[in-house]
Amino acid sequence: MSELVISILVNVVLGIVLLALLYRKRASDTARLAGADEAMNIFGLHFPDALGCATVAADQRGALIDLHGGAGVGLLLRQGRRWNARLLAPGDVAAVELDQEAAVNLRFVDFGWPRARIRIADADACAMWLARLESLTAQSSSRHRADPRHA
Amino acid sequence: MPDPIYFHAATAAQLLLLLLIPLEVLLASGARIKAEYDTRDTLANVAVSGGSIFFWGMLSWLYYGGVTFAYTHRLLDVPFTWWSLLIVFVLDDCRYYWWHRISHRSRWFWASHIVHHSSQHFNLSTNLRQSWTSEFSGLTLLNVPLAFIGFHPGTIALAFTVNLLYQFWIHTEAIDRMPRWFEWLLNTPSHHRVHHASNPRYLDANYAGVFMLWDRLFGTFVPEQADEPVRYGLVKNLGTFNPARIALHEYVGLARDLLRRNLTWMQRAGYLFGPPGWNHEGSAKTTAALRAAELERRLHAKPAAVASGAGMLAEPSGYAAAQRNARPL
Repeated sequence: MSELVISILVNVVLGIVLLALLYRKRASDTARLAGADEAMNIFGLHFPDALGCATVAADQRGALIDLHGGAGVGLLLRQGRRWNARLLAPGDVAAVELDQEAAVNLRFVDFGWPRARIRIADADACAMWLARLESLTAQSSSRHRADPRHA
Repeated sequence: MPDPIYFHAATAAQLLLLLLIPLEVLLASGARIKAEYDTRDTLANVAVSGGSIFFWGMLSWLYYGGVTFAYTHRLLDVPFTWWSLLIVFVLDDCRYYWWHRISHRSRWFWASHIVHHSSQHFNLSTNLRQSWTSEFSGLTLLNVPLAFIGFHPGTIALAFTVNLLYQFWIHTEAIDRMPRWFEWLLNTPSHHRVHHASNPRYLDANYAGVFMLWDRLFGTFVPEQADEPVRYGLVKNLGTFNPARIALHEYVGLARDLLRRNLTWMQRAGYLFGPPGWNHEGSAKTTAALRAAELERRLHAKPAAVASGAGMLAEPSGYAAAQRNARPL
């Protein structure tokens, strides 16, 4: 039991030392998307077959991608010092809303990627994306499935 | 039984090895070595490690119970000597290979082991990102045969500890290649980078703990290729640094799949024990399917088409270079 306590203490001390070191030695993450083409290039590293049009976020650290052929929506976001990507299909989005800074807040069904936030500068594009993402929520998907007009 | 001094020495070695992490951070920040640290990722590693140690402390009786039970019904009395330690070290390394291979090939076990692969970075702190549930996944049963033969549980534990200590230094980008004989015989940073890759070519390869012999023997060895840089992490990477989500996310996904309606028991068994990515609808993203798709892509590679229109992409540029050097997976 004492070894267990020592091991946990070592982890705590190591965590504090690392935090201090990483804070002192940190280099800011300057990665930004140059444009829609670069967003698609990076997204393509995750999903090589993906074709679509990207809308780059206002801070250039993310993009929403309109995938061709009814393949859904692509999401590219800076996650720490890496780019992370997802294909969003109907039912993948738990909730979507616009916050006070006009950023789209997304909650996902995926336990491993619970939420994301992305701000689109253009108001029309933002409204379009909001509607598009709302159509991917579980409620909307089930509504569409139940409504014979959408069959 | 081995003298307790061996275990004290192993604990001391473990603590010394942990000091290499801040050293790597320091050297990396001065660009003296190749290593990339992300603050939140590293802290998540430390937090996951704390949880892993805690749950190991709570559940290790499952391991010791099984091994001790087998030892009380042993076939032989193997004394603790240098040669018995050597034999048990080699046999335990083989056991580790199969533990590792099963952990990657069956989703129930992968749900536990995925934690270690969930970082998109690869540095010495990645060592710390260990499973919280390894004790109850059931694979500790693989330790039972050695105890049943007659190796003392302490000897087996010592061999495994040395094995894990060896694996510490191979989690780094700072070392490119070791001498050729070393690369052939033993696990190295290069081999282990491949193991942590999410590129289809590199998936499910290089399971060895110490001796690469097992991968060469059982057909799972894949060398690191200069024309295909490793992308670390998972096929579907996490979007969180929350340690509990990191440790448990695959169990949540597994539970959701098992609770789907209108599944047969065989389909549920497929989700539980089938390869990661398997699904009953036939649109599987298993390693085999990903490799087949990648191979198809390379075989039918065309010159990178000119993108037309803003944001359009016919061939992702990162793959265009890879396709020029295309070779069978």
